Amino acid sequence: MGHSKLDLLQGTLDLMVLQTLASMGPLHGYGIARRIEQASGDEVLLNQGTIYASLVRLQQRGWISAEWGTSDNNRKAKFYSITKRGRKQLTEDAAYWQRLSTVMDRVLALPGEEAEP
Amino acid sequence: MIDRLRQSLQRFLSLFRRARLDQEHDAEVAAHLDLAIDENRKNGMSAEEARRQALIQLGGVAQTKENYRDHRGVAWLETLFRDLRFALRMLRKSPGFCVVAILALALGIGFSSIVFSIFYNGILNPFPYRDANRLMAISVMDDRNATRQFRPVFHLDEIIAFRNQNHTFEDIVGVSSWDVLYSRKGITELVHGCVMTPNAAEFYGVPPMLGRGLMERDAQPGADPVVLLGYEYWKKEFQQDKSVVGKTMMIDNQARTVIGVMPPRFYLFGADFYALISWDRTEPSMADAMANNEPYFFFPNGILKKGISRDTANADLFAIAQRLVPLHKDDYPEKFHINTRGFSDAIVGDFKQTMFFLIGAVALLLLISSSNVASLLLTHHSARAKEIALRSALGASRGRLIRQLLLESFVLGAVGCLAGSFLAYGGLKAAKTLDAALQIPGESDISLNWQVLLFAVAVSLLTALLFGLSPAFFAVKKDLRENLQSSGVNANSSQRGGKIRAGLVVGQVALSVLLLVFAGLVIRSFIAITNFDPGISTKNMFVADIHFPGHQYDSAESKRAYFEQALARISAIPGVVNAATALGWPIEGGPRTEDVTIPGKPHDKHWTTSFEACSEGYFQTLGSRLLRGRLISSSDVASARRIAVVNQTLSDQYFPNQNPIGQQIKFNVLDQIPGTPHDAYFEIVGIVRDFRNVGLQQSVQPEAFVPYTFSGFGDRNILVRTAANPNLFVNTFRQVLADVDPNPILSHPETLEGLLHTHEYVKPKFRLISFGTCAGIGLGLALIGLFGVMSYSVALQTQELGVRMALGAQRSDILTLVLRKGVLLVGSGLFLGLLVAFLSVRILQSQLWGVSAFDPGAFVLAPLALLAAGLLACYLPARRATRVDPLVALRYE
Repeated sequence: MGHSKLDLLQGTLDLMVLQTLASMGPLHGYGIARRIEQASGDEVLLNQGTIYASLVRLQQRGWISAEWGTSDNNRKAKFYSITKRGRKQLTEDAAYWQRLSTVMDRVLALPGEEAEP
Repeated sequence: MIDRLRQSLQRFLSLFRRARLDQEHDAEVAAHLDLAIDENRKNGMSAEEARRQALIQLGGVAQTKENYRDHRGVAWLETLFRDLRFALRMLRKSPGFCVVAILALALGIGFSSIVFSIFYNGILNPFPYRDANRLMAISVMDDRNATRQFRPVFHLDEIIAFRNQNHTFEDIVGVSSWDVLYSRKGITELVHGCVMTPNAAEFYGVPPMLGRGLMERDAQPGADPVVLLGYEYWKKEFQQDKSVVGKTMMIDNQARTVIGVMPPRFYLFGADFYALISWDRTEPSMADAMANNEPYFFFPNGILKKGISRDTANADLFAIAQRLVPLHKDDYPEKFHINTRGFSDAIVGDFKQTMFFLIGAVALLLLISSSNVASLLLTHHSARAKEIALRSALGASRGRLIRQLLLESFVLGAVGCLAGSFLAYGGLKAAKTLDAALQIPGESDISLNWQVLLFAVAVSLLTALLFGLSPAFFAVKKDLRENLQSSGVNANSSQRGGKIRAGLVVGQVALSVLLLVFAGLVIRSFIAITNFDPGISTKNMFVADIHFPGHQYDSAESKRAYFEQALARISAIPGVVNAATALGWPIEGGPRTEDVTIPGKPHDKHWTTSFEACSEGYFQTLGSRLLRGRLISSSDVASARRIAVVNQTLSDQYFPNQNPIGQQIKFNVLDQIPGTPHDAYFEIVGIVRDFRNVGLQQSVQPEAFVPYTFSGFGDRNILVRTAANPNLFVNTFRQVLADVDPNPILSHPETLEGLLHTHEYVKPKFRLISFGTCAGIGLGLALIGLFGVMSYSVALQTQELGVRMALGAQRSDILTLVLRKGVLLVGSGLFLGLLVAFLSVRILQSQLWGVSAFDPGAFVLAPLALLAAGLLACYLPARRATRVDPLVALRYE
């Protein structure tokens, strides 16, 4: 189990998409997927297609906006960018994840009965 | 939170621009792949490999799109739309099934809603009055004849005593009918008024529609005389002119100010106007009351105190009534009790019972129609077992299949309910025009009862859904292979459904036999009553009331002078055969005397006798035959001779085995009426053949006829036998009578047939129409159910029949084989239905007249009709079975 890729927890993909858009500026779906794969060091199990479910969700909530544009290599693609409300949401969610991960670290650091594998 | 809402809204909205969004997403996914391929190629892959890797990374185009759509829209809603479209398509493919199912639902819902609404609004809750459910009518009952109401009316002083001394009523009012003359611009006519005690306005609690209501002070001595108009009269007489309030009307030679108009639903006595009478009125003698046209008797209405039973109230009033007996000796029987009953019961009477039976009939109809829908759905769905199995094999989940089947049933149910609601709405509008036949209080507002409609709709929808689900058990659960391998309609696969269907059809046949027997009895009863020979000819007989205002015609001599001229002139009109005057109406009856005195014949029981005072032409006019002795002659009339002609019943009952001619008889009621000869004995001079005299439906009562000149008292009627439709003569009669003297007023012109229609035929006709309709529809539905089941079972057997024919079976063998099954179904239903009918028909007796509840006509004809129709419904599919080509049948799979 240890060597397989990480399954994404519910909602984490949305956060990754927001963070990617916040740091990289407008990107098309493929670009976002690639950035996440690269950033995670290919640790994340991601069908690139699932990114579109996340994108439509975020768009419907008004956290990102979309516009058709042209890519570097002259392909027509839909470009997504984060909105002001999206940035606010990102701050909130990031803070939440930070806290959660700190707590998780601490809990998991408790001495267990069995030695770690 | 707002973002979530926004998302839901967006998702919902996206449903309406699916096509554009899908297109856009397709482009986006294509762009994604292109971008990925570009990158892969840049990394040195071959074109083919680059595309393959791009697809792997994406995770499949179809999956991506599906996933996207799920997140974009409202998935279940989209599926629902799709299923709905599918359901409509499936239903369109079997229009016959749809029409029948919808019709069955609509008829069931429609008819039950109509009948229940009439029952609720017309009988259970008809009045706009305050505390109508505690509103009671009060009457004196004769103990010796418990079913007979001695009198429902009281003197004003009795009502005052009841009101002041009772402990069980919140309040009691007295109401009396008061017909008086209304004069305007040289025209005088009789109007129908209603006088009430001063507490009436508060008692009934209905505010006027226009102006002000009556108030206690209007009854005080010296108050301005006022009048409150009834809605109908205001509409008819004043064309709804609002400015009528404040004007004066000359009523009974007294100027009264119109103070207001009551709303349409205030319909007490159906009066033209309402006025008050003072509590302090000095009780007039009957003679004075008659002479001055004062109200004499009053109907009491009381509102029971909360929680008081009718028995308690009866006992309470009885104690008071006992103290009143010495004051009104003649108005109480020796032994009596007081009966209070619901005001609506007093008006509705036996119609309530008819309605109960009708409700029963409609409930049966609802049962038939729901079981019909159920068996239709079962058959329809069983025939689709293969389709369902196929779709299941192709990956449709069971839940999805069930949802689709339910949706189909729901669509059917919804359309049926809608149609049923329209039917109920339209039917009630039509029913309103039957007011007279319905015998419901004029106050009632017959409108659709929503609770009832909702209930019927719920029951029907539930049936549709429940049985719509049946294939989920019979088909979906089945081993797929079995259904796929065999033909679509497989005998084995629907064995269980078959039994349920057969049961449903037997039930439908049984219920419709029951309805048919009931309807048959009601029809026979109607025929019996309309064909009944009352003993005189009812054709072309004109009857009317002559009202004598003032005191001009109070004497016998003046009445004779008037009628001698009037009858002579009317008889002279071309087309008039005969004319006569009388006190009462032929067949419907006239005044009665509670007892007679015959010298040498003492008796304990009351010898009730009808009493008629007529001119010499009476018997010829009616066409009544003389049996013995002689009729009344013109000289008897002229000299007011004390003679009487009696009918055969009187002769048989009071003079058994004796010749009554020459005997003396006294009519005791005359002693109590002022202006009539008291202690007068009449010599019997002749016997006439019986004809009905207390309505068509009751047996003939003893009756005596005396010369109308015996007294000058009261108003009289005229009867005219014409050679053509009497309605054509009304104006001529009016003119001729006005020539004799313009003062007497001809009112209530009617034909005897019209009179019989309102009094005798309307109720049986209503029963005929309502029960007949129920039975007819029930029969139709049962036949459709039978036809459906037989057709289906023939379809199931096609292969088997083919084999039999290939092996040499003749057409007649096949026909017998198929018909046997049908006959078994019809036979079982018939047997069951007849059994139930036989056991239950006795309760219907009260609705019948002239036929026994076990009338062989109904008990033989109804099943025969059903058997014939049922065999036809079986024969058609059976004949189709015989036309099966063995070769085709064997390849039928």
